[in-house]
Formats: sequence, C-alpha cells, structure tokens
Amino acid sequence: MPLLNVKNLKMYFYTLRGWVKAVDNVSFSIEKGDSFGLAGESGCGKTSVALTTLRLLPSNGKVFDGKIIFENMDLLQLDDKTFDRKIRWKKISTVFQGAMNSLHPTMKIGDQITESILAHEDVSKEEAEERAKKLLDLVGIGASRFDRYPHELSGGMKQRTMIAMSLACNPDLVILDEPTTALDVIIAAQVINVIKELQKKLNLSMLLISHDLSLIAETCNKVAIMYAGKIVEYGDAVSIFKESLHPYTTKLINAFPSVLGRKTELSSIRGFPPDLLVPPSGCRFHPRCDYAMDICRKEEPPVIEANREHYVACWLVGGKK
Amino acid sequence: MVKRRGVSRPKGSLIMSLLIVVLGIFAFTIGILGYFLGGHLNEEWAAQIWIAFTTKGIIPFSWPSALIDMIVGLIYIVCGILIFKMKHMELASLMTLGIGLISVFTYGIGEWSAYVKETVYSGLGVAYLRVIIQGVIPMITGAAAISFEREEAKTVLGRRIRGFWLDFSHNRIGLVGAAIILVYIASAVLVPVLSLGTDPEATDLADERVPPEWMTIFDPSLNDLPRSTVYNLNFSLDMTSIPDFIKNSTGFNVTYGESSTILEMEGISFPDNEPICMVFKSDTFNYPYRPPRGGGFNIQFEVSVDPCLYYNLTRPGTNITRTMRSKRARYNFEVNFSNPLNTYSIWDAEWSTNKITYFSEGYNASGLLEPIDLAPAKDRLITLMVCSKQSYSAALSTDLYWAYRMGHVDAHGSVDAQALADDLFASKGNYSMTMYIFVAPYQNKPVYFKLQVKTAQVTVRGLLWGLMGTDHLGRDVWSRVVHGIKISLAIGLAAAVVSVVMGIMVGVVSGYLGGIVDEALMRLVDILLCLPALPILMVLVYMYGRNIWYIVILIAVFGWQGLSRVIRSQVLSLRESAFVECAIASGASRVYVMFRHLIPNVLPIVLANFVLSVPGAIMTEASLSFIGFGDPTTPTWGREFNIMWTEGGAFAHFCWWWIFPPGIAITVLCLAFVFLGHAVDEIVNPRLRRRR
Amino acid sequence: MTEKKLIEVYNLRKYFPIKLGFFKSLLTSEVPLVRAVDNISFTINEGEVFGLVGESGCGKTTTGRVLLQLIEPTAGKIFFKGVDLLKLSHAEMRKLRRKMQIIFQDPYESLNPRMSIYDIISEPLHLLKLVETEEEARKRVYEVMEAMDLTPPEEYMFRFPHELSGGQRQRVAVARAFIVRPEFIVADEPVSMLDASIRSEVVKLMQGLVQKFRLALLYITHDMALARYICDRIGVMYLGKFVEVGRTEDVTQHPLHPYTEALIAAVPVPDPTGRRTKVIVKGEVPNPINPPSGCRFHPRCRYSQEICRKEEPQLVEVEKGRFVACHFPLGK
Repeated sequence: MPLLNVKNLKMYFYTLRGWVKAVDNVSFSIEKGDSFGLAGESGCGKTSVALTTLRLLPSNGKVFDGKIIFENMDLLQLDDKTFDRKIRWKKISTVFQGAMNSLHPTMKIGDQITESILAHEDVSKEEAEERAKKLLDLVGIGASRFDRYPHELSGGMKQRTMIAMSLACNPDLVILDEPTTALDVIIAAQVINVIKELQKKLNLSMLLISHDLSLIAETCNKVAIMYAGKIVEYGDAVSIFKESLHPYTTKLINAFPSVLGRKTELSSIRGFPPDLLVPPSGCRFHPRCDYAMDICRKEEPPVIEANREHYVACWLVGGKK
Repeated sequence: MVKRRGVSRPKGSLIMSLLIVVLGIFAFTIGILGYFLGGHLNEEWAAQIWIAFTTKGIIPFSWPSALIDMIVGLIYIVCGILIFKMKHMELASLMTLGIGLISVFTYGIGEWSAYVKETVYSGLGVAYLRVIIQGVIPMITGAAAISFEREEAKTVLGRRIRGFWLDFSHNRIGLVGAAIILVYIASAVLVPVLSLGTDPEATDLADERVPPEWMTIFDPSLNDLPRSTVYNLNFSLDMTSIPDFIKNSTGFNVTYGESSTILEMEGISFPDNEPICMVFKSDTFNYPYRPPRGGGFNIQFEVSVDPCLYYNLTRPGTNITRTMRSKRARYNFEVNFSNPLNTYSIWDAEWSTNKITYFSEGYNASGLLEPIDLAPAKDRLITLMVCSKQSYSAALSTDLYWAYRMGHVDAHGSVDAQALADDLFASKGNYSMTMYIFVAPYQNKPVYFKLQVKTAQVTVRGLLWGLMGTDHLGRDVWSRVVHGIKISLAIGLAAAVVSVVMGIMVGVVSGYLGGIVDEALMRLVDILLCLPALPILMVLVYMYGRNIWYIVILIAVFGWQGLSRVIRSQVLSLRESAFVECAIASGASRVYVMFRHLIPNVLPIVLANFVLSVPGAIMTEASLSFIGFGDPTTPTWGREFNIMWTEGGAFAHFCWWWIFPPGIAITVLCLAFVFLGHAVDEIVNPRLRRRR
Repeated sequence: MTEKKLIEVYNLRKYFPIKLGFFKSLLTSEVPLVRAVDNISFTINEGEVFGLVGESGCGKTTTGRVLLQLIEPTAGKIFFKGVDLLKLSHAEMRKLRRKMQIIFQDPYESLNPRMSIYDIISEPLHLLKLVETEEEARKRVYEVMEAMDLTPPEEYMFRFPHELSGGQRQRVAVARAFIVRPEFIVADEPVSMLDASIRSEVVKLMQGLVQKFRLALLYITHDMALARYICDRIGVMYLGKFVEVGRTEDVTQHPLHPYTEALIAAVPVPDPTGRRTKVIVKGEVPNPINPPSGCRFHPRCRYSQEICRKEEPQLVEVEKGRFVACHFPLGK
C-alpha cells in the first residue's frame, strides 16, 4: 500500500493570458520509508505538485482532475477544516525553499517549534518544550540553543531548525523543496547528512524536490524526472542514473559535473524550457530532443513500464500500439 | 590614441535642435521683457509698449505668466542642447513634445476663451501667434526629433507602451479613473461650448440664489415661477387721441424706428392755449408667471423732448452765424403700467417735485405717510413744464418715492419690496404701458415739439435659472463650475509636476552622491518640513495681496519633501545594484548613472506618487481659497466655497444647487485621480517584484 | 608556449572598518576591521581560467571587485600587463576598463529592469565610445547575441529582463561583458543562482569564448565540481587567505589541505552508487572580525595539533606551481 499515491493530477494556473498548464497528468507513488526525489528544471511544475498536495496553492491555481490518495483518503476531496485538523503538519509537513527566511525574527527558535506543536496537538506547554528540545538535538543544533534568536544562527542552522519544525508532530511524510539551494557547499553537506540520519532513525518517508540531480542522487532511493508539467521518467534511483531511457534524463544527468572520477564532457540541452501557456504538441520535449521523430510531434507518449519499476514516457522506448 | 567620438548625429537633427533653442530663447526673452516691463509700468514709455504689446497678445499679462514663459524658454533651450549633443534624446524630445502640448493646451484655451469673451485681444490671429510659436512648433519639432531616435528605441518605446496598456486595461478602477479625467479635460477644452456661452461673471442673469430650472420636473407647481425675461415694449401713437388740427397739419410727423418712436410737430398752431393729451400705447406682453421676488424686476423707459425752434442768426455785418434756440412748447408726461387687474402710475407729472417734497418732509411723527393715489392723468390738472431739450429716464424697481406712492414703505423708511412686486405683477395675463404726453403752446406761438420715446424694457429676474441656478449676485453657477475645471486641473498638475521634479532631483542627487551633499540636502528638507505653510501664506497675502500664484507656489514649495525622502531611500538601495556596478565597470560617470540607471528605476514609484499628489494639490488649493486666501479674480472652486460661505449661500440659505455642484465636481475629480493612481501603483509594484 | 602574465596580484589586502554603536565608538579608539582579503598573491596568464574557490565570506567576491577597481584596496599591488593599476588616474583607468569586465552572480539584479536587452548589451559600447555609427553597434550586438546562443536576436533584443528566464538573463550579462572584447573577465559565481541543469550551457558558452578569443577568466565559485570542469588553475581561499593553489586536476584529485579535502568531500556526486564516506567538517566559518589564532582553519580541522593553534602556516611552494599553507599537508 503506497503511502502517497498521486493519480493523473491536473492543476493549472490562471493568468491574464490564459491557463498555464503547470501540472499536467502527473502520477507517481511513494511507499513508506521511501525517499522520493522529484527532479526537473525551474518551472517544470515540481513545486506546484507539493503546493497542491498541501492545499497551499495561490488563488489562481485550480485542480482540474486527479486524485491524491494518502492513507486511503483522497486529499483533494477533503474539506478545508478536516484537512487542517488531520493532515497538515500532522501527517504531511513541509520545508519550503528559502525556509530559513521564514523564521520569525523576534521569537526564540525553541519557542517557534513549541508554537507549531501547540498549534496542532493538544499537549501541555512543558511537554511541547521537551519535544522541541529533543527535536533540536535530533537535527544536531542541540537543546542548549533553545533560547537563541534566528539572527544568531547561521544559514545551515536555520535550515535545520526548519527541518526540526517540520518533524514537530511526527508526520508520516515530509516534503522538502530545495532544502540546500541557498546554502554553501559544506553547510549543505551537513544538512544533507542530517536528512539522511533522520531517514534512518525515524524511518521517515520523504519527497525531495530539487533541480540538483547530484543532491537527489545522494539522498533518494526513487527518482522521478519532470519536464514541462509532465513526468517523463521515474523509478529506482540506480536504474534511472545508470540506465536512463529518456533523452532528457540522459542529457540532464550528463549536465552535472562530477568532482570525482574521470573528467567528462558536460552535455547541454539546446533551446529553452517551453512556455506552459502553449506547450508544444505531442511530446513536450520534442523541440529540444536530438532524436525527435514524426510521432513525437503529433502524439503524446504514454507512460510505460520499460523495466521492473522503471517507467518512462518516450516513443523511442515504446508505447506504440 | 585616437579620441573616440561616439555615434554620429543623424542629419536634420541639427536643424531641429537649433529651432528648439531659438524658440526657447524667444520665449525666454518675452518672459523677461514682460517681467521687466510689468515692474516699470509707472513710466510712460514702458506703459505704452506694454499696452501696445499686451493687447496684441504678445507679452504676458502678469508676472507669473512671465515667469512661466521664462521657465518654458529655459526648458526648450536645455532640450535643444541635449538633442544637439545627442544625449538623452528620447527624454529631451519627449519633454519638448510634452511642454509644447501643455503650452498649446494652456495658451490655446486661454486665447479661445478670451476670444469668445472678446475682452482682451484685438486680433485673433496675433493672439494665436504665440500659441503657434511656443506651443505647436516645439511640439511638432519634439515629435520629429523622436523619429530620429534609433529604430530599436522606437520599438522598445512601443513595447513599453503596449506592456503598460496590457496591464492597465485589465484594471477596471484605473480605466474608470482615466475616463473621468479625460471627460474633465475635454470639458476644460470645450468650456465655451459647455457653458453655452454664458459669461461666468455676468451678474443678474436671474434673481439671487435661485434654484435650477429642472426643478419643475420634480415639483410641477414651480412651473409658474417667473423666468428671466426682458420685455421690449415699443410705443405707438394712439391716433384717436390726436386732435384733428394736428393730424391734418403738415408739420406733424410720427416715425417708428427700431428702438424708438419719434413724434415731431413743426410750427403747428394750436387753436387755444389748452394742452392736448397724446396717448402712446405700448405693445402688450403676456406675463404667465407668478409675481417676481421683491426687487427682482425692473421697469425702464426713456423719453427725450426738444420743445424748441432752431434758427440761424447771422450777426449783421459779419459772416458769423449762430444757431439760436427759441422755446416753443410746454409739455409734461405721465407713464402708467397696467396689469390685468390694475393700472399703476409709474411716473407722474409732478414726479421730481413730489419726490423732493417727500424727502424733505421725511417721516412725520404720527407714522406712515399717506400714499398718493393719483387720479388718471386725463382728469387731473397737469402743470406743464417749459425747458430746453431734456431727457427723462427711469429705471424703477425699488425706488423709495415710488414705493411710498404705492403704499409699501413703513414707518422706518424700509421698502416692502415683495408687496410692490406682488402689486405690479399681481396676475397672469396681458400687461402693457401707456404714456400720456401733454403739449401746449408757449406764449401762443406755433408749437415746435420733438419727442422721442425709446423702447421701454420690463425686466423680470427669474426665480428659476439654467442648469445649476444662480449665486448671490445672480451669476450662472453652471458656467462658473465649468470654468473652474481648467483652473483646478492646471493648478493640480502644475503643483504636482513641480513637486515631483524637485523630489526626484533632490532625492536622486542626495541618495547617490551621499556624504556632505546628502546631509545638506536632507537638512534643507527638514527645515522646509518644519516651516508652517499656512502662516507664510497669510503673511504673503497680507503683504502682497491675494494671487492664485501664491497658492500654487506654496503647494509646490511645500509639497515635495516627502517624495524626495522616499526616492532617496529607493536610490540608496538601487545604487548598490549589480547593474550600476557594471555600468561603472564600463566607465560610466556619476551623472550618467543618475540619469540612465537611477532615475528610470525610480520613475515607476514617482509616477504613482505624481498621480496621487494631484488631488492633494487640488484639495489644498480649494481649502486655502475656502478660508479666504485665494485669489478673488480667479474662478476656482475653492473661491466658490468661500463665496457661498460668506454670502450666505451655504448657511443662511440652503442653496443646494450652489453647494453641491462644485463639491461633487471636485470630489469626483480627486476620486478619479486616486483611482488612476491606485491602478498605476498596482501595475508598478508587481513589476518590481516580478521574478521567476 | 610562453605564457604571458596578464594579471599580477601581490600582497593584496582589503579591510572593511565596522561601524560601532554610538557609545562604543566613544569608548574605544580602535576600529574593528573585517579582514575580507588578507594578503593574497597570485597571477593569471593570458587565456587562462583561474578559479577562486571558497565558501561565503572567504573574500573571493571582494577580490574580484578589487581587481576591477570597483573597490579600493587597503594595501598591495595589482598589475595589468605590467601597468600598476593603483597608480593610474581616474581617466587612465577608464581607458583600461575596456579590457577588464565583470559578470555578477544574481541574474535578476545585474540587468537594469527598465532597459531593453538591446540597450543593456550595447551600453558598454556607447560608454566606452567604441563605435561610430548605430549600424556598427547593431552589428556587434547581433554578433555577440548569436555567440551566446540567444537566437534569433530580434526576438530577444526588444524584450525586457523580466521577460527572460534566469539562464537567458545570465547569457545577456555575459554578452554585455564580452561585447567590448575584453582581455580579462571576472565571473563572480555566474551560474550559482541558475538551475543546475542550465549551468552547463552557460559555462560551456563561456568556455567557448575563452578558447576562441584567448580570454583570461577569474572564475569565482564555491562549487568545486564546476571549478574542476572549467578552470585551469584553482586557488582555494579560507577567511581571506589562500590555503592551496595549483593546477585543477592536482588540487581536486590530490588535495593537500584539509579544507580542500573537506570541500571536495562535501560536493554531492550525481551517482547513487558513488556515495562515499563523508569527511564532514564540524562547525561553521568563524567570524572574520576575530579570526582564530594560528592557522585559521584549526578549530574545524580534524588533523589539528598544538602548533596549528600557535603558528600561522605560510603559503609555500611544495612543487612547481603548487602552493599550500599547512603545517601538515595531506599525503606528505
């Protein structure tokens, strides 16, 4: 039974110039204990998936179709009150991009974590503070820093505080959106370490969203690659990285330089990401693909299971009737 | 090392820039001339040049206009030089275009209105010369100079405008605001048409403080309230009243002219010494209304007599001829006014004598003087007068003696004007006037008598008037309100422009240069903020009298400090931007950075602020005029508020037709600017935040 | 092949004084300094890409700006083709500006949002008066836009920065720097704010320019993997000082300084099977106002010993072209 099962999700944004097809027929599933990486360029819709799951869409976003099944409930069908009470932060929590800037500047960090616990659970203040201190220990900041203010902490510490806050109510699933983007490389490594330790200790299920494939390779055991609002390939991390089937995935992986191993030629993908107002016909990647065929221009490739637990949407691989 | 020149100038721009500079010098010279002459008007030669030129519309009238001419001239000179040096061509040509447009607008409206009023300028063509020289030509030149800009700049300008319009057209509130402002501007331009040609300063168009005519829609009983009418009554001789011996005489002549009736008797011998009575009947007019308000009517007639014989007398033995005059008639006359119910005497034969008697006797101790009830003239003994040529005219409305005769003066000598009006215009129907002329021979000699009876006028001041009634002097409120539009717009825009320009200059310079310049400018701003504007205005008014320009200057001088602070803080953050550093890395000078990088990025905020400060300026002017510091000669809405306060339109009598129109007009105009500013603000801010 | 020296930097220092509070400034006469750049020396040859690697706050951005004279150095010498930059007058420096340009990190901030792309790219041409006619300027803008793969140029020329994506904007920034045909460009973390998948394109474009026009590049970054890809030589900075300098392959494959080792270990690798044991350094970069005594890295170094606390190691040349500042270099 997957923990989170997203089926045919369609979510568009309304702008003055029309509907932007941000999330177009996206399906994937996360099992318990998985760390699932959602990768793609900026603007491909990966953050929108997270926002839709947590009902944090801006007012011009509208879900047109699909189901998000979490623990036998379709999250999209729940009313707002139930969602707030039961799901948000208690079952699914999140750490957003640039989260360290979301800390209240005039409140102590310990108090902020306590506040989030008290907001969602009915416990006494002392108990909440105890739990907050334990969380701070868990992420490596230490209970001694309970009374510090955010400006006294470094960037990495602030990010770890946000991770602690997301774990406040022992959620089943944590969504992390670009957790290390604004951080220096060593600090980022420390944060990645914390994430990996938490995964092991708490058997945490994680949805990690990032444009950095190296980060995803380090932390995730399942990967999905999104392009222009659609999932083009997803499956086990090893098979995706070692035996990528979609041309985009291959080029994307080769666009990341490696500090170890042989120095190889970096690949680059010509052209620019498409405008989601009027996406390309057929396969959305075809204008930039070196192997585009006629059918790629006309028809959208279906998602097929190429190998065991390795799904891809590309006419090169198959799917022709 | 070869000295690099940069991009060379397109052909033709030299002519353009020269033209603009020349026009600028011209405007500047005229301004200086006007200013100088205006200050030396006591001197004969200055006054002569002044009159000669100002009536031709060449030299500005007042020192503020002269000042504006000087400023406009300077701006043209600067823009011309900038276009010549190929720096900031876009800005310079747009400024020339803009100022030219504003000049056409301002001068054009001024000239047209003046032409319509036929007051100031003697020749329309010459008056428009200035419009063309200072307005139209720079405007065209500025537009042409823009066309010299690079292709890319024009495309980019087009895209900027389209982008702005795309955002703006979705903002309904902004569109409403813009539409309202356009309506106001159109009204300002079409003022002579809109106000239906009525002079806003013409008094007594109707009675004071009367409501508008369309009130009859709501209350039909008001239909028979009198309307302003002038009845012209020509007198015609009733031939039956002329005895035969005169009728048959050759020396008897009656001529009916355009505006008078002339009766002549030349050498007619009367059978006896008895006077004859000739009756002149006037046209009948139909008066279908209720009686007017007390004092709201006027009866005017004019009679000229010449009872003399003229002959030439040559002094014997010389060639000197003199015209001699010899009295040959005795005369007198009376005038009656008839309404369907009654006939009243409005001029009796003893008028002057009786008047003197009344005034010398004054009020007697026992109370009211008895009114004089004169029997019809025919039945009375009339004393005939002997005199030379004489003319009598009377305009009666609340003449004290007449009121006394009609019995409407009380013991204290005050006239019950309403009773007088009620008596005279007691009923609807036909009215007329009758004149009785008595003529008798003088010393039994043949009668030489010439009589001219001018067209009489009965004026009734209406109790309903026009679209928005009248004020306390009987002036049309609608045309006053309409004439106020252009003044309010002009003041609001002028004050806002000055405050924005000052704010940008001070803010950018102080923000970018920093250090001691920054300190000095900010301290200046602090000082100006602490100065009390209203007492300064009061002192100015006390020392130099009231002038609309004092208010404009005051708003301009005290209105820019807030904006300069906001711009300064914006510049402080902008100057650290990467693109500024890149420009410096490519060798940009500080002035270049200020004009090319800082000011354009500050403009969006400035634009929103500008639009939002116009209503503030308009309201400030209205408030200052309301409390009495405005210019009594300039028709602004604030002055309306002041008048209605002091003259009892607002508190003593509730003249809603006088109170609400200017109030609504000013409110809607300010609201429109606020809507527009709100829309611009919304467009501007998201763009600053618009990141991927 | 003789390598001509383009840039020579000797003992460069840049200290920033800190503003104290009002009362504190009355009490003390000492003004605390942030020693952003503390005595660094290096050279860059023509056509060479020199990487300046380090974390935030190590002074690399300041170094880049000082080289271009956007900031005045506190001490030291900078030579450009043998000319002492610090002795030049303002006007003479302006003439040299044609040869040195800079690319900034933030694609959103480095382009004036009110100028069209055409104006932005052609601005240096007009400022430095390099063209005589408008047609010439247009031609050069077209050329450089095609070199940056912003084709067709007409489609981008009239747009405004907010209409372009981050990658496109950064290409515009490179185009602007390159249009004056400089000999030396300082690239201050040009791709760190872009998507990881777009970085390679921009980096490859810059590499193309370097190879084709023998451009020298000072590439400032904190990403060791990318530095390995583009740089010929690398200098690793920590708290304003160099800890290791050398050829890229040597430094990245055989680091000598523990900090370099930590940096390399911290970079994630795009290979799920390639995870190796992390050498994680504890703590964060200390406050640059009060750097640690002795070797500045010693509180975080896992090999630190007594002498590291007392004595500051000097930058020594252990092999030809290979420098390290450590009492106990790795592998020796």
